[in-house]
Amino acid sequence: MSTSKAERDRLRLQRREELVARRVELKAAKRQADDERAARKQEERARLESERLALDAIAEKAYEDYLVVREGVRRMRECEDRNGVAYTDHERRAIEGLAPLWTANAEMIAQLRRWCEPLSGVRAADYASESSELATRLKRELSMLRRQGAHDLFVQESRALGGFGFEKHGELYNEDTLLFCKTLVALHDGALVQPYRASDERRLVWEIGGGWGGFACQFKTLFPNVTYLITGLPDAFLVSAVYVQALFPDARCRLFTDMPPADLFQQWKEIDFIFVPESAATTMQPPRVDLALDLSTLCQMSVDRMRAHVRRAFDLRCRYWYSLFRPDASAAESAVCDVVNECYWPHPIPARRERWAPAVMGVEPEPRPDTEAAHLVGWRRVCA
Amino acid sequence: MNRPPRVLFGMPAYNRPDALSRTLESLLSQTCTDFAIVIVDDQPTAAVRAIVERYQSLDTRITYEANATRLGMIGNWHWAFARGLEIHPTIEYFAWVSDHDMWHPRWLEVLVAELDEHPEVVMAYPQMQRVFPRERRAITRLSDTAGMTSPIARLRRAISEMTAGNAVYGLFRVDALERAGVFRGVLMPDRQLLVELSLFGEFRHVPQMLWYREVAGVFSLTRQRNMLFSDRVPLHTYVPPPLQHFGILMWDLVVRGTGRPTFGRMAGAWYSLCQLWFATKREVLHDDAWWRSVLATEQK
Repeated sequence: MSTSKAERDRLRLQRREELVARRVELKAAKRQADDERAARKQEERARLESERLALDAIAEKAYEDYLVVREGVRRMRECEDRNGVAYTDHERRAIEGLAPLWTANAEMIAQLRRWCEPLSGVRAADYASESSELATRLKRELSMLRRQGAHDLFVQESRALGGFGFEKHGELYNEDTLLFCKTLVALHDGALVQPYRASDERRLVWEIGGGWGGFACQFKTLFPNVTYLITGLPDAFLVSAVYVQALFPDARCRLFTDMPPADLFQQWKEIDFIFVPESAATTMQPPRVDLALDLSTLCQMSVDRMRAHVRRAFDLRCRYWYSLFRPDASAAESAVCDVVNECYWPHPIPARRERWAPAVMGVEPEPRPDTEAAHLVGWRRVCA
Repeated sequence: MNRPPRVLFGMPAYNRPDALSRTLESLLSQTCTDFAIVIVDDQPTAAVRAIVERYQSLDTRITYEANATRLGMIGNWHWAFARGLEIHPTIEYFAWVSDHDMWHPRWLEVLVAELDEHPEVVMAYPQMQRVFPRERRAITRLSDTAGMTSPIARLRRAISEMTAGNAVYGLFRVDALERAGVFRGVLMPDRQLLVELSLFGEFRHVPQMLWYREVAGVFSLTRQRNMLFSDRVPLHTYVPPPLQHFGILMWDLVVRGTGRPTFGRMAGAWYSLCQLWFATKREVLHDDAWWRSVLATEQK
């Protein structure tokens, strides 16, 4: 009996010792996990802090750039007023919407992306909730684009100057990001961008309008060896010229007012971005234009102004034309197509889809969804 | 003196004045300019002649000849190549072009680069967009024989996976095309050509959308018989197409020995039998098999 009691005591003691050892082990593991978590948090805090400092530095430099750009744009504005450019209602509304930027302070420039709504119609406020209808639609579109192999054409929205959007896998995107990606996919499907990858030759791309500079940044990110010419409303340059310089701090930018018009394209291969007001677009003499881009800008113009742009591209021997029609621009689509058709053979680029209904001769195709943009590529005519 | 062109576009035309300007402009706008165009017209009209003359006045690279009598599609395709070669005997690459499809301005630049870079490739062709009357569709499927050194493997792939009607509008190496025998008087002559050509080298499908093809109608053997031949339809065209193609291969590779020096007559006989087997299998199983088309016609 006494032996068995001693045995039981010994086992109990042993169990207690094991329990204590296990507890010590667990405590040590917990302490280690806590330390690691704290280190991670600290690292994350440091990363965020350095990111914040970098963004602050970008914002600070952007304000300096803004002050310079504003002077140039003011002179362009005077030039436009002298030439009496007749703006459409849509353009006048955009100009009014951008009016506060003429007297912007550093804080406003630090949040410049929030002031782009008059140009793109995309509002930062719509991106507050991750569970909205917009979030679901954009998420679906992004997944579809990725499945269709558009990885190498996706450029996320920068966080600089108040960049906004939904986040997936650490990447920020909004309606504009996806629209620009689809534009790049259409340019790819139209076999227009492959030479920009394959060749060392410097090319000149002309974007009409230029918006807030978002597409220019995406294009320049993917194809750095281009000189990117933007013509349009001088007021819009208050955003685009500042934004592109913020994203490409080493880029060499030239404003129309920096030099006499005849010298504007001097040493053009060394310049990354050139900004020219619309009134000078029809007389400018770039040495070459490889691609003319219209991201729903032409459809906001009068037919005469549309024609002047298309004709200018043709006269400059620009081989390719591209027009984007945003989902809300379908009314002006046929007018733009007609004008483009005068100088370029039009080729609609079908949007990428998950599934096509079988094509049957004589049967009307499915109508384009309301949320889908249309893309048109033009090849320069021999006889126009 | 002008240097002779490296590339020849042979256009077997057949009364498409509505689309000819667009097609000619797409060819004349090629970024690679080292080419000539030979148009052989199987149904000459004043409208077509006027369009061609207009472009001839702008560009001297175009030659136009109207056929005295209708040759039919096979005869005209054959003549486009033969006449082109007579006029430009030193060309390296050849492509058939229709009088209604559209060629991207970079088409030639990209495909010439492929053939220049890969001497083992006898034909290169790009991805395409199908142009329906009211919509367009991008065809992104890729199918080629790049990297396949075995003729049997290439033959099998060419028969089972490639769409001959698209690939035949690719850019060909002229010497290989001559050995394969251009267009023969059989049904599906494009497939027969590509099958035979696959024995002489690789095909490369370039993943860029550089050709825009107008879709006009659906495939049928009756339609082929009417289009391919100018007057009387040869009796052998009522034999199943794989058997027609087998006969041509046996004639070329075994009787004439055109496979030499690449391969001998015995190998040629073996390849012909393989063709018969692969093609029969495809014809039995494939969605667009000829017997399905026959059945569909009879049901109508």
